[in-house]
Amino acid sequence: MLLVPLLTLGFGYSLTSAVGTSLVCVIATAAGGAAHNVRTGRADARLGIVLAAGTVVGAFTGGFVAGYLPDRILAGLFAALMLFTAYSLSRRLSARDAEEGNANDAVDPAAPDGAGAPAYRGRRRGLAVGGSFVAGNVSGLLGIGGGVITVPLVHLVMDAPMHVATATSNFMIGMTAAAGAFAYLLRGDVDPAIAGPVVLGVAAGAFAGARLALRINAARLTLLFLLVVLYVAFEMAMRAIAPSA
Amino acid sequence: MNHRNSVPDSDELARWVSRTLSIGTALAISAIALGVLAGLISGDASAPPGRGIGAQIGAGRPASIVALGLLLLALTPIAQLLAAIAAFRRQGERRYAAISATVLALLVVGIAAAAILTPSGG
Repeated sequence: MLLVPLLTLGFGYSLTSAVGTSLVCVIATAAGGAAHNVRTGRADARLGIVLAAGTVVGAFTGGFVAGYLPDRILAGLFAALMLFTAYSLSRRLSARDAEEGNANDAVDPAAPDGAGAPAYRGRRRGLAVGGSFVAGNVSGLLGIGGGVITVPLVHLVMDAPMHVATATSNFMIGMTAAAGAFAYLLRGDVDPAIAGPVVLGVAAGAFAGARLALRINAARLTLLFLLVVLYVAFEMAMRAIAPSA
Repeated sequence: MNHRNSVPDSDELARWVSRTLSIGTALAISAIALGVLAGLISGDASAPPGRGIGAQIGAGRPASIVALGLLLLALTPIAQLLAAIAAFRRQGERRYAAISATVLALLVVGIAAAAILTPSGG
Protein backbone atom coordinates (compact mmCIF):
# COMPACT_ATOMS: atom_id res chain seq x y z
CA MET A 1 0.00 0.00 0.00
CA LEU A 2 2.93 2.33 0.66
CA LEU A 3 4.70 1.52 -2.61
CA VAL A 4 2.67 4.00 -4.68
CA PRO A 5 3.49 6.99 -2.41
CA LEU A 6 7.13 5.81 -2.18
CA LEU A 7 7.50 5.76 -5.98
CA THR A 8 5.62 9.03 -6.54
CA LEU A 9 6.68 11.13 -3.57
CA GLY A 10 10.16 9.59 -3.23
CA PHE A 11 11.22 8.92 -6.84
CA GLY A 12 9.07 11.31 -8.86
CA TYR A 13 7.13 8.59 -10.70
CA SER A 14 3.79 9.49 -12.28
CA LEU A 15 0.89 8.04 -10.33
CA THR A 16 -0.22 5.78 -13.20
CA SER A 17 3.29 4.25 -13.55
CA ALA A 18 3.52 3.79 -9.78
CA VAL A 19 0.08 2.15 -9.62
CA GLY A 20 0.96 -0.27 -12.46
CA THR A 21 4.25 -1.23 -10.80
CA SER A 22 2.51 -1.62 -7.46
CA LEU A 23 -0.13 -3.97 -8.92
CA VAL A 24 2.58 -6.30 -10.25
CA CYS A 25 4.23 -6.26 -6.81
CA VAL A 26 0.85 -7.04 -5.20
CA ILE A 27 0.60 -10.20 -7.33
CA ALA A 28 4.13 -11.24 -6.33
CA THR A 29 3.44 -10.90 -2.60
CA ALA A 30 -0.17 -12.18 -2.64
CA ALA A 31 0.58 -15.35 -4.64
CA GLY A 32 2.97 -16.70 -1.99
CA GLY A 33 0.53 -15.99 0.82
CA ALA A 34 -2.43 -17.39 -1.15
CA ALA A 35 -0.53 -20.62 -1.90
CA HIS A 36 0.11 -21.08 1.83
CA ASN A 37 -3.45 -20.15 2.86
CA VAL A 38 -5.05 -22.52 0.35
CA ARG A 39 -2.66 -25.37 1.20
CA THR A 40 -3.34 -25.07 4.92
CA GLY A 41 -7.10 -24.67 4.46
CA ARG A 42 -7.27 -21.15 5.91
CA ALA A 43 -8.70 -19.54 2.76
CA ASP A 44 -12.22 -20.28 1.56
CA ALA A 45 -11.34 -20.78 -2.10
CA ARG A 46 -14.98 -21.34 -3.10
CA LEU A 47 -16.13 -18.06 -1.58
CA GLY A 48 -13.00 -16.33 -2.94
CA ILE A 49 -13.78 -17.37 -6.49
CA VAL A 50 -17.40 -16.16 -6.22
CA LEU A 51 -16.27 -12.76 -4.93
CA ALA A 52 -13.45 -12.59 -7.49
CA ALA A 53 -16.12 -12.22 -10.18
CA GLY A 54 -16.86 -8.80 -8.68
CA THR A 55 -13.28 -7.73 -7.99
CA VAL A 56 -12.02 -8.73 -11.47
CA VAL A 57 -14.65 -6.64 -13.30
CA GLY A 58 -14.06 -3.78 -10.86
CA ALA A 59 -10.28 -3.91 -11.33
CA PHE A 60 -10.57 -3.76 -15.12
CA THR A 61 -12.85 -0.77 -14.84
CA GLY A 62 -10.54 0.95 -12.37
CA GLY A 63 -7.39 0.20 -14.38
CA PHE A 64 -8.97 1.48 -17.57
CA VAL A 65 -10.37 4.65 -16.00
CA ALA A 66 -7.06 5.42 -14.23
CA GLY A 67 -5.36 5.91 -17.59
CA TYR A 68 -7.64 8.87 -18.28
CA LEU A 69 -7.76 10.49 -14.83
CA PRO A 70 -5.49 13.44 -13.96
CA ASP A 71 -2.82 12.72 -11.33
CA ARG A 72 -4.38 15.16 -8.86
CA ILE A 73 -7.68 13.25 -8.79
CA LEU A 74 -5.84 9.96 -8.24
CA ALA A 75 -3.84 11.67 -5.48
CA GLY A 76 -7.08 12.83 -3.84
CA LEU A 77 -8.53 9.31 -4.00
CA PHE A 78 -5.30 7.91 -2.54
CA ALA A 79 -5.41 10.44 0.31
CA ALA A 80 -8.99 9.30 1.08
CA LEU A 81 -7.86 5.65 1.03
CA MET A 82 -4.99 6.44 3.42
CA LEU A 83 -7.35 8.19 5.84
CA PHE A 84 -9.70 5.18 5.75
CA THR A 85 -6.69 2.89 6.36
CA ALA A 86 -5.60 5.05 9.30
CA TYR A 87 -9.12 4.75 10.74
CA SER A 88 -9.05 0.93 10.30
CA LEU A 89 -5.59 0.73 11.93
CA SER A 90 -6.68 2.79 14.93
CA ARG A 91 -9.67 0.45 15.37
CA ARG A 92 -7.39 -2.56 15.07
CA LEU A 93 -5.13 -1.17 17.79
CA SER A 94 -8.04 -1.15 20.24
CA ALA A 95 -9.65 -4.43 19.08
CA ARG A 96 -6.52 -6.53 18.53
CA ASP A 97 -6.90 -8.73 21.60
CA ALA A 98 -10.53 -9.58 20.78
CA GLU A 99 -9.62 -10.63 17.22
CA GLU A 100 -6.81 -12.90 18.43
CA GLY A 101 -9.29 -14.66 20.68
CA ASN A 102 -11.35 -15.74 17.65
CA ALA A 103 -8.41 -17.04 15.60
CA ASN A 104 -9.11 -20.68 16.36
CA ASP A 105 -12.83 -20.78 15.54
CA ALA A 106 -13.64 -24.13 13.96
CA VAL A 107 -14.50 -23.54 10.30
CA ASP A 108 -14.04 -25.80 7.33
CA PRO A 109 -13.56 -23.51 4.33
CA ALA A 110 -12.79 -26.55 2.18
CA ALA A 111 -16.33 -27.89 2.57
CA PRO A 112 -18.32 -27.80 -0.69
CA ASP A 113 -21.81 -26.30 -0.52
CA GLY A 114 -24.27 -28.59 1.18
CA ALA A 115 -25.29 -29.46 4.72
CA GLY A 116 -21.71 -29.12 6.00
CA ALA A 117 -20.91 -25.85 4.22
CA PRO A 118 -19.92 -22.88 6.37
CA ALA A 119 -23.04 -20.84 7.20
CA TYR A 120 -21.49 -17.51 6.22
CA ARG A 121 -21.07 -18.61 2.59
CA GLY A 122 -24.75 -18.08 1.81
CA ARG A 123 -25.12 -14.82 3.72
CA ARG A 124 -25.71 -11.58 1.77
CA ARG A 125 -23.82 -12.98 -1.20
CA GLY A 126 -25.25 -10.42 -3.68
CA LEU A 127 -24.22 -7.52 -1.48
CA ALA A 128 -20.75 -9.04 -1.03
CA VAL A 129 -20.23 -9.43 -4.81
CA GLY A 130 -21.34 -5.79 -5.26
CA GLY A 131 -18.90 -4.71 -2.57
CA SER A 132 -16.19 -6.77 -4.26
CA PHE A 133 -16.75 -4.79 -7.45
CA VAL A 134 -16.01 -1.60 -5.47
CA ALA A 135 -12.90 -3.27 -3.97
CA GLY A 136 -11.71 -4.21 -7.46
CA ASN A 137 -12.28 -0.66 -8.64
CA VAL A 138 -10.15 0.76 -5.83
CA SER A 139 -7.48 -1.86 -6.57
CA GLY A 140 -7.30 -1.04 -10.28
CA LEU A 141 -7.36 2.71 -9.64
CA LEU A 142 -4.87 2.91 -6.78
CA GLY A 143 -2.63 -0.14 -7.20
CA ILE A 144 -3.53 -1.93 -3.98
CA GLY A 145 -4.78 -5.47 -3.38
CA GLY A 146 -8.22 -4.37 -2.23
CA GLY A 147 -7.98 -6.21 1.09
CA VAL A 148 -8.78 -2.96 2.88
CA ILE A 149 -12.35 -3.44 1.58
CA THR A 150 -12.68 -7.20 1.05
CA VAL A 151 -11.56 -8.21 4.57
CA PRO A 152 -14.27 -6.14 6.35
CA LEU A 153 -16.73 -7.15 3.63
CA VAL A 154 -16.28 -10.89 4.21
CA HIS A 155 -15.98 -10.48 7.99
CA LEU A 156 -18.74 -7.95 8.71
CA VAL A 157 -21.20 -8.42 5.82
CA MET A 158 -20.93 -12.19 5.41
CA ASP A 159 -20.14 -12.93 9.09
CA ALA A 160 -17.09 -15.07 8.28
CA PRO A 161 -14.47 -15.35 11.05
CA MET A 162 -11.66 -12.80 10.78
CA HIS A 163 -8.94 -15.35 9.94
CA VAL A 164 -11.06 -16.75 7.09
CA ALA A 165 -11.81 -13.21 5.85
CA THR A 166 -8.11 -12.29 5.79
CA ALA A 167 -7.00 -15.52 4.07
CA THR A 168 -9.87 -15.47 1.55
CA SER A 169 -9.16 -11.84 0.69
CA ASN A 170 -5.53 -12.78 0.10
CA PHE A 171 -6.71 -15.60 -2.20
CA MET A 172 -8.61 -13.07 -4.37
CA ILE A 173 -5.92 -10.39 -4.42
CA GLY A 174 -3.78 -11.99 -7.13
CA MET A 175 -6.72 -12.32 -9.53
CA THR A 176 -7.85 -8.77 -8.76
CA ALA A 177 -4.40 -7.25 -9.16
CA ALA A 178 -3.77 -9.20 -12.39
CA ALA A 179 -6.99 -7.82 -13.87
CA GLY A 180 -5.85 -4.28 -13.10
CA ALA A 181 -2.19 -4.90 -14.01
CA PHE A 182 -2.91 -5.91 -17.61
CA ALA A 183 -4.36 -2.48 -18.43
CA TYR A 184 -1.12 -0.85 -17.22
CA LEU A 185 1.21 -3.45 -18.82
CA LEU A 186 -0.50 -3.17 -22.20
CA ARG A 187 -0.41 0.64 -22.07
CA GLY A 188 3.33 0.49 -21.33
CA ASP A 189 2.86 2.27 -18.00
CA VAL A 190 5.14 -0.26 -16.26
CA ASP A 191 8.85 0.32 -16.94
CA PRO A 192 10.58 -3.10 -16.61
CA ALA A 193 13.93 -1.46 -15.81
CA ILE A 194 12.37 0.04 -12.66
CA ALA A 195 9.70 -2.58 -11.90
CA GLY A 196 12.19 -5.50 -11.96
CA PRO A 197 14.30 -4.42 -8.97
CA VAL A 198 11.18 -3.16 -7.16
CA VAL A 199 9.39 -6.53 -7.51
CA LEU A 200 12.50 -8.37 -6.29
CA GLY A 201 12.84 -5.98 -3.33
CA VAL A 202 9.17 -6.26 -2.39
CA ALA A 203 9.21 -10.08 -2.67
CA ALA A 204 12.34 -10.29 -0.51
CA GLY A 205 10.83 -7.79 1.95
CA ALA A 206 7.62 -9.82 2.23
CA PHE A 207 9.64 -13.00 2.85
CA ALA A 208 11.76 -11.35 5.55
CA GLY A 209 8.81 -9.42 6.99
CA ALA A 210 6.76 -12.58 7.54
CA ARG A 211 9.57 -13.95 9.70
CA LEU A 212 10.38 -10.66 11.46
CA ALA A 213 6.70 -10.07 12.30
CA LEU A 214 6.82 -12.95 14.76
CA ARG A 215 9.50 -11.19 16.79
CA ILE A 216 8.21 -7.61 16.62
CA ASN A 217 5.69 -6.01 18.94
CA ALA A 218 2.55 -5.95 16.74
CA ALA A 219 0.91 -3.01 18.52
CA ARG A 220 4.04 -0.86 18.16
CA LEU A 221 4.35 -1.83 14.49
CA THR A 222 0.69 -0.94 13.87
CA LEU A 223 1.19 2.44 15.57
CA LEU A 224 4.27 3.15 13.43
CA PHE A 225 2.35 2.16 10.28
CA LEU A 226 -0.54 4.40 11.36
CA LEU A 227 1.80 7.42 11.62
CA VAL A 228 3.33 6.70 8.18
CA VAL A 229 -0.14 6.32 6.64
CA LEU A 230 -1.24 9.68 8.13
CA TYR A 231 1.88 11.36 6.72
CA VAL A 232 1.21 9.85 3.25
CA ALA A 233 -2.44 10.97 3.45
CA PHE A 234 -1.26 14.53 4.13
CA GLU A 235 1.29 14.48 1.26
CA MET A 236 -1.22 13.02 -1.21
CA ALA A 237 -3.87 15.56 -0.15
CA MET A 238 -1.36 18.38 -0.75
CA ARG A 239 -0.60 16.91 -4.17
CA ALA A 240 -4.31 16.85 -4.99
CA ILE A 241 -4.84 20.44 -3.83
CA ALA A 242 -1.64 21.94 -5.27
CA PRO A 243 -0.08 19.50 -7.83
CA SER A 244 3.09 21.57 -8.32
CA ALA A 245 3.84 21.71 -4.59
CA MET B 1 -11.86 -34.90 8.83
CA ASN B 2 -10.43 -31.49 8.14
CA HIS B 3 -8.26 -29.39 10.39
CA ARG B 4 -7.47 -25.75 9.85
CA ASN B 5 -3.76 -26.45 9.45
CA SER B 6 -3.79 -29.63 7.39
CA VAL B 7 -4.57 -30.32 3.76
CA PRO B 8 -7.92 -32.06 3.35
CA ASP B 9 -7.18 -35.29 1.44
CA SER B 10 -10.27 -34.95 -0.75
CA ASP B 11 -9.62 -31.34 -1.61
CA GLU B 12 -7.45 -31.44 -4.71
CA LEU B 13 -8.31 -27.79 -5.16
CA ALA B 14 -5.94 -26.89 -2.31
CA ARG B 15 -3.05 -28.88 -3.74
CA TRP B 16 -3.48 -27.85 -7.36
CA VAL B 17 -4.07 -24.16 -6.74
CA SER B 18 -1.25 -23.76 -4.20
CA ARG B 19 1.17 -25.66 -6.44
CA THR B 20 0.22 -23.52 -9.48
CA LEU B 21 0.68 -20.31 -7.52
CA SER B 22 4.06 -21.40 -6.15
CA ILE B 23 5.40 -22.54 -9.54
CA GLY B 24 4.09 -19.45 -11.37
CA THR B 25 5.59 -17.06 -8.84
CA ALA B 26 8.91 -18.91 -8.79
CA LEU B 27 9.18 -18.83 -12.60
CA ALA B 28 8.26 -15.14 -12.78
CA ILE B 29 10.62 -14.06 -9.98
CA SER B 30 13.44 -16.15 -11.54
CA ALA B 31 12.95 -14.46 -14.93
CA ILE B 32 12.88 -11.00 -13.32
CA ALA B 33 16.02 -11.77 -11.29
CA LEU B 34 17.76 -13.11 -14.40
CA GLY B 35 16.84 -9.98 -16.37
CA VAL B 36 18.00 -7.64 -13.62
CA LEU B 37 21.27 -9.59 -13.32
CA ALA B 38 21.79 -9.56 -17.10
CA GLY B 39 21.20 -5.79 -17.09
CA LEU B 40 23.78 -5.29 -14.35
CA ILE B 41 26.39 -7.47 -16.13
CA SER B 42 25.86 -5.95 -19.58
CA GLY B 43 25.50 -2.41 -18.26
CA ASP B 44 22.25 -2.03 -20.21
CA ALA B 45 19.51 -1.70 -17.60
CA SER B 46 17.44 0.82 -19.53
CA ALA B 47 13.88 0.13 -20.64
CA PRO B 48 13.52 -1.46 -24.09
CA PRO B 49 11.89 0.67 -26.77
CA GLY B 50 8.18 0.18 -27.43
CA ARG B 51 5.33 1.12 -25.15
CA GLY B 52 3.37 -2.07 -24.52
CA ILE B 53 4.58 -5.23 -22.76
CA GLY B 54 4.62 -7.14 -26.08
CA ALA B 55 7.01 -4.63 -27.66
CA GLN B 56 9.11 -4.58 -24.50
CA ILE B 57 9.52 -8.37 -24.57
CA GLY B 58 10.31 -8.37 -28.28
CA ALA B 59 13.07 -5.76 -27.97
CA GLY B 60 15.70 -8.42 -27.16
CA ARG B 61 17.40 -6.55 -24.32
CA PRO B 62 18.04 -7.51 -20.68
CA ALA B 63 14.97 -5.55 -19.59
CA SER B 64 12.95 -7.68 -22.04
CA ILE B 65 13.60 -10.69 -19.77
CA VAL B 66 12.28 -8.61 -16.87
CA ALA B 67 9.20 -7.71 -18.95
CA LEU B 68 8.68 -11.43 -19.65
CA GLY B 69 8.86 -12.09 -15.90
CA LEU B 70 6.29 -9.35 -15.24
CA LEU B 71 3.99 -10.94 -17.82
CA LEU B 72 4.47 -14.38 -16.21
CA LEU B 73 3.57 -12.82 -12.86
CA ALA B 74 0.39 -11.30 -14.28
CA LEU B 75 -0.49 -14.65 -15.91
CA THR B 76 -0.05 -16.62 -12.66
CA PRO B 77 -3.56 -15.80 -11.31
CA ILE B 78 -4.97 -16.95 -14.67
CA ALA B 79 -3.16 -20.27 -14.21
CA GLN B 80 -4.58 -20.29 -10.66
CA LEU B 81 -8.10 -20.15 -12.13
CA LEU B 82 -7.32 -22.89 -14.67
CA ALA B 83 -6.09 -25.12 -11.83
CA ALA B 84 -9.25 -24.33 -9.83
CA ILE B 85 -11.49 -25.23 -12.79
CA ALA B 86 -9.66 -28.54 -13.31
CA ALA B 87 -9.81 -29.39 -9.59
CA PHE B 88 -13.50 -28.52 -9.23
CA ARG B 89 -14.34 -30.63 -12.29
CA ARG B 90 -12.36 -33.56 -10.93
CA GLN B 91 -14.11 -33.25 -7.56
CA GLY B 92 -17.51 -33.16 -9.28
CA GLU B 93 -18.28 -29.60 -8.14
CA ARG B 94 -19.71 -28.44 -11.43
CA ARG B 95 -21.22 -25.28 -9.98
CA TYR B 96 -17.88 -23.94 -8.77
CA ALA B 97 -16.15 -25.10 -11.96
CA ALA B 98 -18.67 -22.96 -13.87
CA ILE B 99 -18.16 -19.94 -11.57
CA SER B 100 -14.35 -20.24 -11.95
CA ALA B 101 -14.74 -20.50 -15.72
CA THR B 102 -16.91 -17.36 -15.66
CA VAL B 103 -14.24 -15.45 -13.70
CA LEU B 104 -11.60 -16.70 -16.16
CA ALA B 105 -13.77 -15.60 -19.10
CA LEU B 106 -14.19 -12.15 -17.49
CA LEU B 107 -10.41 -11.88 -17.12
CA VAL B 108 -9.76 -12.94 -20.73
CA VAL B 109 -12.44 -10.60 -22.13
CA GLY B 110 -11.07 -7.75 -20.00
CA ILE B 111 -7.50 -8.37 -21.19
CA ALA B 112 -8.67 -8.53 -24.81
CA ALA B 113 -10.65 -5.29 -24.35
CA ALA B 114 -7.62 -3.60 -22.76
CA ALA B 115 -5.43 -4.76 -25.70
CA ILE B 116 -7.93 -3.44 -28.26
CA LEU B 117 -8.57 -0.14 -26.47
CA THR B 118 -4.87 0.52 -25.82
CA PRO B 119 -3.34 2.73 -28.53
CA SER B 120 0.04 0.93 -28.48
CA GLY B 121 -1.70 -2.43 -28.89
CA GLY B 122 0.45 -4.12 -26.28
